[in-house]
Amino acid sequence: MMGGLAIVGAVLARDLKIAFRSGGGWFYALFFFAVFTALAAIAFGPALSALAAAAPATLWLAAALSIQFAAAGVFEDDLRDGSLRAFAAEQGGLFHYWLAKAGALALTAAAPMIIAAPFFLTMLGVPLADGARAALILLAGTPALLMIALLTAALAGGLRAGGLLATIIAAPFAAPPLIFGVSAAKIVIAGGGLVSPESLILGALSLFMAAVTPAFAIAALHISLE
Amino acid sequence: MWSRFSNPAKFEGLARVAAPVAMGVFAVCAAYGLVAGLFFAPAEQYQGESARIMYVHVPAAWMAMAAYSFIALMSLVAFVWRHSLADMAARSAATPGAVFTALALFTGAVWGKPTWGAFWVWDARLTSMLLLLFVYFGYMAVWQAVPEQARAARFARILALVGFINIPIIKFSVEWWNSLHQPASIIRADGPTIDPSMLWPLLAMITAYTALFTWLVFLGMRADLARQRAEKRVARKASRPVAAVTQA
Repeated sequence: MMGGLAIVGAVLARDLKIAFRSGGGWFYALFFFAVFTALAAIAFGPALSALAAAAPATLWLAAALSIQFAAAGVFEDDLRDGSLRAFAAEQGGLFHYWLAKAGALALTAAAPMIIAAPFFLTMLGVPLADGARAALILLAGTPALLMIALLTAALAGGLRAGGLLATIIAAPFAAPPLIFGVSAAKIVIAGGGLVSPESLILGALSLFMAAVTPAFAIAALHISLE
Repeated sequence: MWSRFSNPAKFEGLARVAAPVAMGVFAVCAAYGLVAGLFFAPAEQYQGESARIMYVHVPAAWMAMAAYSFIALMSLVAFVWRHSLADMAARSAATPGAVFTALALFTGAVWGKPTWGAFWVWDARLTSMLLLLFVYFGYMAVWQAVPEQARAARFARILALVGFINIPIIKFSVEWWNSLHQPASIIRADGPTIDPSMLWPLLAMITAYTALFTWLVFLGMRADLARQRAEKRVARKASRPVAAVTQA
């Protein structure tokens, strides 16, 4: 029996290897993010001033949706090939497994997106320096988005139309991070500081989701195994 | 004392008495409340006759939240004590709850047109009710998506509970969001405390809606129990010849 941290490391290493091998598709989330941003710009029209006003909302919608879709299939393979059952039987719990999955999703889906965000924001008419600070706001809110996506993926994993169902379930959960993420991003783009009531509440939402959702997500995974 | 009704047979006995009683309370209170509220109560001082929609709107909004609290409570009971009846109660409450939420939104929109000049404004209350409707949709979708009842119940419990924790956060967030976007654009007639001539019909309507909800939940649970019995009967019939073959 392996120790907890060793399990986290092993599952994380395996998932990263699968994601980064050729055909592993780690860049799908980033591509979705790019495609969504471009489509939004096309829909809003080419005037940069109008785009800059819509940029924070576009950024957050793109981020929330791409994390949501990236997480949709995160437990599916392990459910299908029985490795989730093996982990649960071996460890007596799925907390470490869940932690590794969250880490893998953060590294493959969220991190590239946050790094790329300032460049996409320049395309939407936001200066690079402001875009970089908006990306830091995105970083503060990403844990909340990840937790919601993992919870809904665990609830809908292996069900009929699981991805769509997960997105429907996630919508009301995603509203608070979107509200505070967009307002905090607007504040930094308008020249305000990184620390604002909005960004602090956004961070609090991330911490709250990280504290509350794992227990529910793990319970849902156990039910999937029955 | 309530745990004895977790026995389906005992519950059937209770439901057979309580459901008609709830229906009767609903009929009496709704009849009084609608007639008194729509015809005899005085028109509101600022909004005139249009405020009469209050008698169908306010109870719907109240029941929208009460029904979800009921679902969460029943899910907790099912989670802790594994009573399948609690799951059935939660499931039976979902559709009436969602309909009450939709009704509150619809009557709110109809009320909003003469009062605010628009059917829909992104007011904090309307927005959080809309998100509550989405919470209901998600909960009902989980029941739909899992074919086996017992398994669906376990997923649904989790979603109901975590959704319940999230509702105050949604409410707080939406209020913050709205205060940023629409500073004081809504005229509210926060007059003096409500007059008894309006209060009594309103209380009657709240009682009527609660009784209607209770009646519908009992009906839904009895239908669920009947469906379970029918399925068991079919399963028994189907298994008999197989058992005979294996014995032979």
